[in-house]
Amino acid sequence: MSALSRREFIKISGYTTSALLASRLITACGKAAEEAGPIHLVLGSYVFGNVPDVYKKIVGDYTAKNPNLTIDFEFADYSGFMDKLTTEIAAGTQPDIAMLIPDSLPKYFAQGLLLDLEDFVKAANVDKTQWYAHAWEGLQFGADQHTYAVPLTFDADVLWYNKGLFDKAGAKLPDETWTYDTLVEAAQALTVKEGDNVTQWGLGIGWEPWYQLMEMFGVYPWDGQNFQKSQFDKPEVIDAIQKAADFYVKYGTTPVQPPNSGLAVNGADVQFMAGNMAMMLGGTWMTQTYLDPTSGIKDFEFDNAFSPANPATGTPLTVGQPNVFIIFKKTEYPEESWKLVNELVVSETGQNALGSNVEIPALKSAAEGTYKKDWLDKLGHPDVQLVTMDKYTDNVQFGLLDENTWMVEVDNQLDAVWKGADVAATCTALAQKLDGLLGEAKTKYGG
Amino acid sequence: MAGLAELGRAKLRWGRPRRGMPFRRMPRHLVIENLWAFGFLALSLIGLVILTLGPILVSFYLSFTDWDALGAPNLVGLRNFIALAHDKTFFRALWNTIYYTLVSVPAGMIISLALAMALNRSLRGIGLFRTLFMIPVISSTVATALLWGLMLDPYIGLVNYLLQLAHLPTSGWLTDTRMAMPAIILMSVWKGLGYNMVLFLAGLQGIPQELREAARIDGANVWNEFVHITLPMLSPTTFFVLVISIISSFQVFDQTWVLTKGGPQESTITLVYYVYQTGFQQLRMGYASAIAYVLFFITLIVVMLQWVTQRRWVFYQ
Repeated sequence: MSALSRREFIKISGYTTSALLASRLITACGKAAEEAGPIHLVLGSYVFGNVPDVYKKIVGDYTAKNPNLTIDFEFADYSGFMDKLTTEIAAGTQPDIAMLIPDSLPKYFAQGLLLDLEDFVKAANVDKTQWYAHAWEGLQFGADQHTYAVPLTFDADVLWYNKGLFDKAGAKLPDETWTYDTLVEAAQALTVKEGDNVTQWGLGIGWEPWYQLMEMFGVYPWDGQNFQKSQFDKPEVIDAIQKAADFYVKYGTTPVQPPNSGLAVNGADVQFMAGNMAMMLGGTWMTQTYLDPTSGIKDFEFDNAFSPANPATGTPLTVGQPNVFIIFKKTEYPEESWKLVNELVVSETGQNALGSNVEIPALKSAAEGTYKKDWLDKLGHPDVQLVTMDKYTDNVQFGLLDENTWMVEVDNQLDAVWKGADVAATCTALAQKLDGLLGEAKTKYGG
Repeated sequence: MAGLAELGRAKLRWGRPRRGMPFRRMPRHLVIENLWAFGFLALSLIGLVILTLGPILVSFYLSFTDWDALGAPNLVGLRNFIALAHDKTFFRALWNTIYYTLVSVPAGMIISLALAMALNRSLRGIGLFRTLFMIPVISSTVATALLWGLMLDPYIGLVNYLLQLAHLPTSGWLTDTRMAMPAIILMSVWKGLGYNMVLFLAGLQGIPQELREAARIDGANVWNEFVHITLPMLSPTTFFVLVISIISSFQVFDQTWVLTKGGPQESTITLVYYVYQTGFQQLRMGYASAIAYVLFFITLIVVMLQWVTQRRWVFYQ
C-alpha cells in the first residue's frame, strides 16, 4: 500500500466524517417525522395456541377504528417472555402494555415501574361485583391501595377424568359428593400394574400438587396476601403435604413428575392426554388444550368434576390466579395505552374475545356466555368450572417473593417427599428457607 | 494484530532500544501503515469492546451490587461473594458441574477418537457415516433435549420400554436424583461426538504415513503403533479438544434447562443454570454476576493448568 500524504489523509477523514454526520441527520429527521405521525404502542404477552391470532384480530379491528394508532406485539412462551421483559426493563425498552401473572407486581411496584390505573378504572365505572371475587385481589398497592393492574382471566383446579377407563373398571364417575377419601379409593381402584410396572395411573396431579392439596384442606403456604411468614412448619400444613405425598409413596397411584414440569411434555397435564391416566387434578387452563379441535384429546371421552372436598367440611376448595394487564409508567401514551387495555381486558368485548381464548374470563358474564358456549358446553358437566370459580376458589398468595423463587424452592424440596422423605423435617427446613428468602427480599424492597 | 506486532518490533528498533543509544523516531511510512492497520481492525475492536469487553466489565461491577434489573444498582461490597461461600446450592452446582466435566469430557474424547480411527479410511460410503455422526452436532440442542426427554420418560419413554422388552431394570432417569445427571451426560456426549470426531479425524490424517510404515517394519503391533505413534502425534489435537471440551462443559446449560430445570432436588443444577436462575428468575443480577465471575476464575485456572502442563505431553512437530 503506497503511503498517503498528510493532505490526502485529512481529505479522506473529512469526507468520511461528513458522510457519517449527514447520515445521522437524515436518520434524526426520519425519526422526528415518525414521531409527529401515528401513535405507536407495543404490547407484550406470553401466548400459546391460537392466542396470537386472537390478539391480532381484536387489535386489527381496534386500529381500523383508530387509524392514528399502530400497535406492535412482543409474543413468547411464558418463561421466554419474562426473560425478555426483564432484559427490556433493564435496558429501559419495555413495552407500553404487558400481560403478566401478579407475582411480579410487588417488585415492579416497589421499583416504581407501574402506571397507577385507579383513575382510569374509576372512570370506566368497573363494577367489581360482576367479576369473580378474587380476580381483582392483590392488584392494589401503596398506602392508598390504588389499582395497578386489571384482570383478564382467572382459573381454578378441577378433577379431569377419563370416562373410558372408569367405564372399563365399572367405577362410579366423580361427582360433587367426592372427598379426599373417595379420591384415594378411586385412585387405588383405577391403578393397574403389571408386575412392578404401572400401566395405568389412577391419579395424576398437575400444577403444584402441594398447593392443590393444601387448598383442599383449607391451609396455605403463607400467612396471607402480601405474605410475611411461611406456614410450612405448621402441623396442619404438614398434614396436608403428607396427604399429597401418600398418593406417590403409600398408595402408588400417582407418577412423580420431573420438578417444575408444569406444562412440560412429561407433566401430568399432558400425560393425561396420552390416555393411561384415569384422573388428573389440574388446572382449568387445560380446557382449551384438551378441547382443541386439531391437537386436543380425540382418543377417549373425558370430562371434569369438582375438586374433591375436605372430608371435614364437605366443601371443595381450589386455588387459582389471574392473568393481568399492566401499563408501564414509562409509556409515552398513557391514555391511549389505557384505551387499548380497556378494549382488550375491561370491556365485555375483550373479555369475550381474548379472555375466553386465554383461560376463564374474569368477568362473569363473559365466562357464563362466550367461554361456556365455545368451550364448556363441549364437556359433560359445563357448570363445574363456573361454580368452582364463583364459590370454591382462592387466589394464589402474592408477596415480595415471586413464584419463580418460592414455588421453585418448594418444588425442589418437596420432590424428596414425593419419593419418601420425612414430611415434617422437610417442611420445617423449607419454612426456614422461605422465611430467609423473604427476609432478603424485604431488606432490598422494604415492606 | 500484525500492526501491533510490527509496532512492538518497531519499538525495539525505534525509540531508545538501549541505554546510551540515540533516540530514533519510527519512519513516517511505518506509522501510516500501522494507522491503516488499526483502521481496518477498528470495526472488530469496537464490536469486541462494546459487545464483549463492555458487558464483562459491567458484570464485574454488578457483582459488587444488589441489582435486580428493575431499579438502580446499589453497591454492597463483597456481600455477594461472602454469601456464595455459605450458599449450599452454589456448592451443589459447582460439584454437579465438576461431575459433569469429569465424566462427559473423557467419555466424549475416547468415544470420538475411537470413531475417528474407525472412519479414518478410504472406503466407499465413508463420507455418509461421517455426515451421520455430524447430524446431532448441527441439530438444535433444545430440540435434541426435548427428544431425549421424551425417550427418557420413565412411564412412556422409549428407553424404559426397550429395557422392559429386554427384561432389564428400568430407571426413573430424569426423575431419579441418581440417574438424572448421567442421563444428561449421555445426551451431551451423544450430541458432541461428531464435532470432536471431525477434529480427531483431521489430526489423524495429519500423521505422516512413513512413521507408521517405519514402526511396522520395526515389528510394532496395532497397540504399539497407537500408543507410540498415533497418540503422541495426535497430542496437539488432543490438547485442543481437551481445552475446548472442558471450557464447554463448564458452560452446560441448555440440557439442564430443557430437561430437568436443575432438579430433581438440585441434582442437575449447574453453575450456568444457577446463574440464570438467580439472575433472570429470582432477579438477583448482582449475585448472578458474582457466580459468573467465580465460574470465570475457575475456568481460567483450569485452562492455565492445562497450558502449563501441556509441555509434558504435547509434542509439536
